[in-house]
This record gives sequence, C-alpha cells and structure tokens, in this order.
Amino acid sequence: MALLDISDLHLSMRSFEGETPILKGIDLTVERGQIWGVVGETGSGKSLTGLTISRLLPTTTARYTGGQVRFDGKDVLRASDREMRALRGGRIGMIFQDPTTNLNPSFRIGTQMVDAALHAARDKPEILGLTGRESRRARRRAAWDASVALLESFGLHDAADRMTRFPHEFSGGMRQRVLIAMAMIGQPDLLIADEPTTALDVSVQSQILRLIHRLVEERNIGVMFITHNLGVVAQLCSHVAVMYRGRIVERGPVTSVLKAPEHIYTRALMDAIPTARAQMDTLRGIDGPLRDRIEAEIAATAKEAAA
Amino acid sequence: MSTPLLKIEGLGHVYGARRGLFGTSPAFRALTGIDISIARGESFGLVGESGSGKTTLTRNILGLERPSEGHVLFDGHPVIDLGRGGERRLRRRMQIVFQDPQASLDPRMTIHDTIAEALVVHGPDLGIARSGYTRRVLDLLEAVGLGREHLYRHPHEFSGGQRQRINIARALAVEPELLILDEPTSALDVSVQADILNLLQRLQKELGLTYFFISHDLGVIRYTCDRVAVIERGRIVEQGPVAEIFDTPSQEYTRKLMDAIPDPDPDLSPLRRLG
Repeated sequence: MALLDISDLHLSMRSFEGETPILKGIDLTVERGQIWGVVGETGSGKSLTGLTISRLLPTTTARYTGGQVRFDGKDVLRASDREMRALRGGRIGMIFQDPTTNLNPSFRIGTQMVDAALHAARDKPEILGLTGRESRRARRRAAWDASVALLESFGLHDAADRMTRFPHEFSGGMRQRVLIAMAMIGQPDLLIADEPTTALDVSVQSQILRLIHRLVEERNIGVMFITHNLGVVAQLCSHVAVMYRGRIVERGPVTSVLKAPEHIYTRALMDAIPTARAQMDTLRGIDGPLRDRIEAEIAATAKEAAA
Repeated sequence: MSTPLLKIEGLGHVYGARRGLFGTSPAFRALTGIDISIARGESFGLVGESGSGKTTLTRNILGLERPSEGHVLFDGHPVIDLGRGGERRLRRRMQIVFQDPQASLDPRMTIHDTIAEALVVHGPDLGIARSGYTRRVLDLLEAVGLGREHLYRHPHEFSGGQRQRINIARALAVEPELLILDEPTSALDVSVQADILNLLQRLQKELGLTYFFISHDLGVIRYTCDRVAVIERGRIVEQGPVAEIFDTPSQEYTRKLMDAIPDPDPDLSPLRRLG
C-alpha cells in the first residue's frame, strides 16, 4: 500500500463571487523513501495540495468536490477531527516557508519543542522511550531530552542551552532547523515541506536540503517538497510533479522529467531559469502567446483523456 | 577616462552604541574599507548573504546614512550635506526599486497617481508641466510593457510581476542615471522573473542606464551584470568581471556561494547518489 495516495482530487473555494475550482483532478502517489518535488507558479495549487493532506484548509471556504486522499490506507478527507489531530505532528510532519511566523515569539524554543513532542507521544509514547504510564514530569523530561538530542543531530550546537532561548535569538537557518526538528520529533512517516528554504540564503538552503535528504536515507520517510525552484528539485528530489492551474501536467523521476521535459509548460519553466551558464538575451519568460499554447495543449490533453 | 558615475572610497560604517528600552546595544561595524567604482552604462552586481552589509551599503550610496569612514561620490560629488535643493536634484538622478513590489506601492493610489507623484516633485527639474503628466505616465507604462487600460487601476488589481513593472516605471519617471535594484525579482516566479530581467536589459540599452544590482541569486547576477562584487561580513572579498569571478573564483567564500546554487541539472546534484 502506498504511503500517500491522492486520486482525482477536486477542490473548490467559495467567495462572494461564487465557487471557483482550484484543484482539478490531482493524482499523486508518494512511497516511502521518495522525495516528490511539487513545482509550479504562484496560484497553481501546490500549497493547497499540501494543506489538503493534513486537512488544514478552513471548511467554511474550501469544499472537496471529488476524489480521495489516502494516507496509509486511511481516507483523510473523511477522518474525524480527533483522528486528524493525531495524524498532524504524529504520522504527518509539516514545515512551512516562513520560520519566523511559525514559531511563537513569546515562548522559549524548548517549551514549543516539548509541546510538539508530548503531542506526538500521546499516541506513540515509544518515540520518547516511554510506555505511556509515566508521570507528567517524567514525560516532560523525556520530551526535553529527546528534543535536545534531535537538535544536536541537526547540527545545532549547545542544544540544551539553545532550548532555553527565544525565537528572536536565532538566525533564519537555525529557526528553520528548529521547525524541521519539531516536525520530525513525532517520527512521522510523511513530511510535507512547503517552500522550506525560500526565505533562506543559498548556503543555508543547501544545508537544509542536505538535512532533509539525510532524514529520508536514515528513516525511510516519504517527502512532499513544495517549491517553485526547479534547481532545488533537481538537487534534492527523486520525483517531480509539475503543476499548472490546478492540474499536474507532467510527472516522473527527476532525471527524466528535468533532462527531457515532455510538456510544453515544463520546458517553458526550464527556459526561464537564469543559471550560471545562461547567456545574455537567452531567457524566455512565459508571455501571452506562450501561455495560449500551454492552455491549448492542456485542453487537448483533457479532451483526449475524456474521449 | 571620464569620471565614474559612482565612486565609493574606503567606505566604512559603524552603527553606534545605543541606549534602548532593554539596555545598551554595543557598536556594530557593518562595513569596512569598501572600494567600488561604477562607470556610466555599466551593470554592477553585489552578492552577499543576509547580514553581509548589502542594505547598509545601499543606504550609504543613497545618502540616507552618513558614512563613518570614507566617502561616496556620485558623478564626482558627495551624496551627503547637499541642502534641500541639492538633495532633491540628487534623488532625481538615482532611484531604487525594492524587493517587495506590493509593499512599495500605496494601495489607495491609482497607478497614474503613483507614477505622477514623482513628477509632481521633480517635474520642474525635468521641464515637464502639470498638463503633461498623464502623457508621460502613459509613455512610461508603455516602456515597461503595460497598456493604457491600467492607468486608473489600483495596485491590488495587478500581479506581482506587473506591480514590479509599475515600480520600475515610477523609478524611471524622473529620468535617473543610476538605478539601484534591490533584489527586484526574488519575490517573483521564475517565469515572471525572466520577463523582468529581459525588460531591465532592454531599458538599459535604450536609456543608457547604470545598474547597481543587489541579489543573492548568482544566476540572476550572471545573466544581468558586467561586473560583480562579493561581500562578506561588511568587506568586499572579491570583485571583477562576471565571467572571471564565476568561472575562476579566487576566494574560498565565493566558491562556497557558487557551490550552494541549486543547479536545474539533476546530474550535478551532490546529494543524488542513490540513482
């Protein structure tokens, strides 16, 4: 059974002007040990796909109009809120783009780490080496020790001292490491990373990518890595799904998709990247006529599929 | 050789010790011994990580900070202590485009008013009468690839790329000689970034602009600039023609930065050993 299996997922968002379809039939399967890069432009629906898996979208505006999301066989869209709370931070870990807004500025890093650890340990006490019958104090101590050990293994020196500090005392790269540690403390099977390195310097970015890669090798987890940077996908991911306006237009192993892109949109994205090798006047943006051709090709494919 | 448009000599900047609400902050040295000379019509790139001093250097060039050591000369003249009129004339000759296209536009002003505001201040120096503002704004919008239908719209009706075009149009409204571009594309999608970079190249050719281009994306710098300086902890560690610095970096730090750029070719991945 696949770790994550999204099939024909449709999502609509309600607003004053009516209901707009956002995701138009997403199919994606993530196995353990795979790092799936989900790429696309702003508004293509890549983040919403990520949020759907842990069902973090507000149900007042978002409506699932079709399809299924199965996590380890369990239908996520029909699970109870209680089951979802256990999944989030337990079996599904999440990291987001902005390491500043995702940490509470008024609590020490340690307090926040321990909270995350104890939440995950409610269902899986063994991750902290507990049986579930220990006292509150013993559980807190175990959570603290596990947090320190994890932060140390992520390359944060003097982790015990750092745990007593506040988020503003950390650099962006260190904050992101803390957030990855918070996502990983529950020993999840699936990690959803939504643009985790976009706000960071390139040198810090490469450290974070190395860390995620190591986690996959050591723990055999599945990763869904959402980004708009094809360079990051090429470096880190094993597979890639290219999204355009709520659809996956091309998917496959990174080596084949990025080396020989078949879809016109994938090719257009590749042509727009200024690499160290790009010469003057060779970049091509996605202008009106090119967009029309992309739309036409997608419409043609949809028709073919329907026939 | 003619005077360089921008000359920075021995520039140092120390943020002074300040007594604040939560105690005294110690003095911090942000820049040390910066020497940069930029010729007219050149594109000069500045690369460095966060906290390396890029912003402090920009503020010194704009005359918004008083250097602690050394000086900044624009067309042979210092950029500080100019008096009100002198400062206004200098502002007209150097303009800046910021990273966040949304934050740099007033949400309550139409595009016409946003761009025309620059003309209200500098119109007399440029010889543009009030009656000519709308004509000029239309010309500027056309130059950055926006049509006249956009004239009376508000910023929220535009995409990120279009907003950045509006910012560029506003900066160009006063016919500047030096354009400082502070990460102008890092908030944009690659497809849109390519359009903006191409636009900037075309404008430079047409208007003979000089660019001071700040970015942490080395691909962008390589694509846009003639020369580049690499800044680390307030010091220029390496400076020279783009091809030379990128192909044969002499400094460990530059090499490290280059190696950290994720290349879109999967074969060049140091992580991928699993196949």
